[in-house]
Amino acid sequence: MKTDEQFRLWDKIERYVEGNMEVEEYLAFEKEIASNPNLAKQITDYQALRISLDLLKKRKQFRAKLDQFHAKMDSLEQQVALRVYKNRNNWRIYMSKYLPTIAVAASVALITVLSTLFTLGYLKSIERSQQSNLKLLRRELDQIKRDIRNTKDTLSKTMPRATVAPQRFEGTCFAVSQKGHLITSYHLVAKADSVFIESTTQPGLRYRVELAFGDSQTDLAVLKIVDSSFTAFNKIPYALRKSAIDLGEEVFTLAYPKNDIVYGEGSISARTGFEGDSAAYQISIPVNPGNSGGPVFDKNGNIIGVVSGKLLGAEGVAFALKSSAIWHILKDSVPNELEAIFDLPKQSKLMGQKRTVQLKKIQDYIFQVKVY
Amino acid sequence: MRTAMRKTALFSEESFIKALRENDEAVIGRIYKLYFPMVLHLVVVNSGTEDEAKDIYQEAFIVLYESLQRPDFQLRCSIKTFLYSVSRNHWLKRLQAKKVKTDLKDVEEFIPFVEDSVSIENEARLVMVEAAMQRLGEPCRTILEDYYLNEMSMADIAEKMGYTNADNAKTQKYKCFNRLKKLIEEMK
Repeated sequence: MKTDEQFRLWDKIERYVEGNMEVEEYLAFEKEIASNPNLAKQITDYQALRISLDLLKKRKQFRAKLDQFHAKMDSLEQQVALRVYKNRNNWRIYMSKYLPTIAVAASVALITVLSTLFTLGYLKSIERSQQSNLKLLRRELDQIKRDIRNTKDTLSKTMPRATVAPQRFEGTCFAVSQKGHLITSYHLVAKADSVFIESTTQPGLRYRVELAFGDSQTDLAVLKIVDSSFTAFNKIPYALRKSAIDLGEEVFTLAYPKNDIVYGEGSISARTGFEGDSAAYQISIPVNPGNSGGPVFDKNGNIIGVVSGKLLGAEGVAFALKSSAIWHILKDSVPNELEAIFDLPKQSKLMGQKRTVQLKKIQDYIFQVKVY
Repeated sequence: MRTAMRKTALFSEESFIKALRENDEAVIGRIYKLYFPMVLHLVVVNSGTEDEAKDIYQEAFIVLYESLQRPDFQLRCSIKTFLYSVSRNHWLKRLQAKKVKTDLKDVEEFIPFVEDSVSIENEARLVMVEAAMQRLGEPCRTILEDYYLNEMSMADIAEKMGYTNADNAKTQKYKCFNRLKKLIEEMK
């Protein structure tokens, strides 16, 4: 086939594919294609490339359009859009980075809150049940108390009272008159059923006493022996010191902190008592509960005070009611009985004596107070 | 209320797809503008320039457009994800060609194999045709480009290329066409 003929055929195919044929030529060519498979193949070959070229053409046109769109985009607008996109993206990255942490934190918080609420509710319910248990117990206790009281009543009705009421308090007192007046601490004998005094230095001595005077404010009490077996004391050797006492002065006590008389010595460590109480001294003598009401003597055997108490939590800090205060209280409260109460020598008969001798003479006028 | 409705109508996914299928230039322009920052960010973050971003984005946009031109094509994800995924693949290919680096820092969710087999085949054939065109040499390349891609008439081409008449130019075009076909066959 000559080149020219081949060209003519190719041109015909191209015009056929492009649709640039007259109707008569088109119909004739269609007939030819149908009868000539070689021609049909040639057309297919042409089409294979032509489709690609057409696609390229379309693409090129579309790309030109895109370039137009691109050119229309304002560069500033584009920058803003990019920044907005970036920020949105940063947020997304931030979230993806920290979301697990945030989630864990949130769930921990949630669990804490819930468990706290739960525990509180749970505790409250426990408390409620305990309260009801408590009430129940108390009711049972009340029932038991009632039962015991009933039993007691029955017993006291049927049986004569044989037992002695238990002893409540123990303390010390000392004689201030031959007729049987004694001084002690009011707190020992307050609200007492009955009070007895005993002495270990005079075995078998036991007198029943009554409260003659009491002052809760200063913790001072005057007792009077009311026992029929009592006649009178011997002459009392010690005196009551009315003058002021110096700081650091040597003092001693004799008292019944246990079931035996105990000697203690120390000095005046302050002119005021507990919380600046001017009616008391502070003394540096180890005292025990039984010391209450015991006398404090100076080195010459003059009574300078009455032990009233000690400071809890501090050793060697005790307080004593001043003898001058005792004198003034009684003078103000019971002026008519003052002479009867105080039947002491004007001057101590123990002056200048050895301590052991002093104690031997004093001990018989110091008693154990037993309160029932 | 009316503006809001119009807005949603203008920016809905279906309306975008419809516009791309029916060549609605105004809407296509809007879509183009909408997703360019995303691809720009992707390319710039992965050591590319703004021009490269434009190239990549347009390639992806063409894939989307051409795919939607095919009546059998079904878009399996959002336009945005499609554009990002294609852009991502194309940029990755370029990076590999540049031998710069092969790992890519993503800024969006993507679908690994977003382009279907038909569009990949078409693409391969078109790339081959374009390459063959480049190797064709003058005057063939200009004649074929002007006629088949630029829709110039043979008379204009004859005049432009200095042929005495359109028939001579046509004969030349025929020869060039055959040479192109031969080159493509050699390349296969």
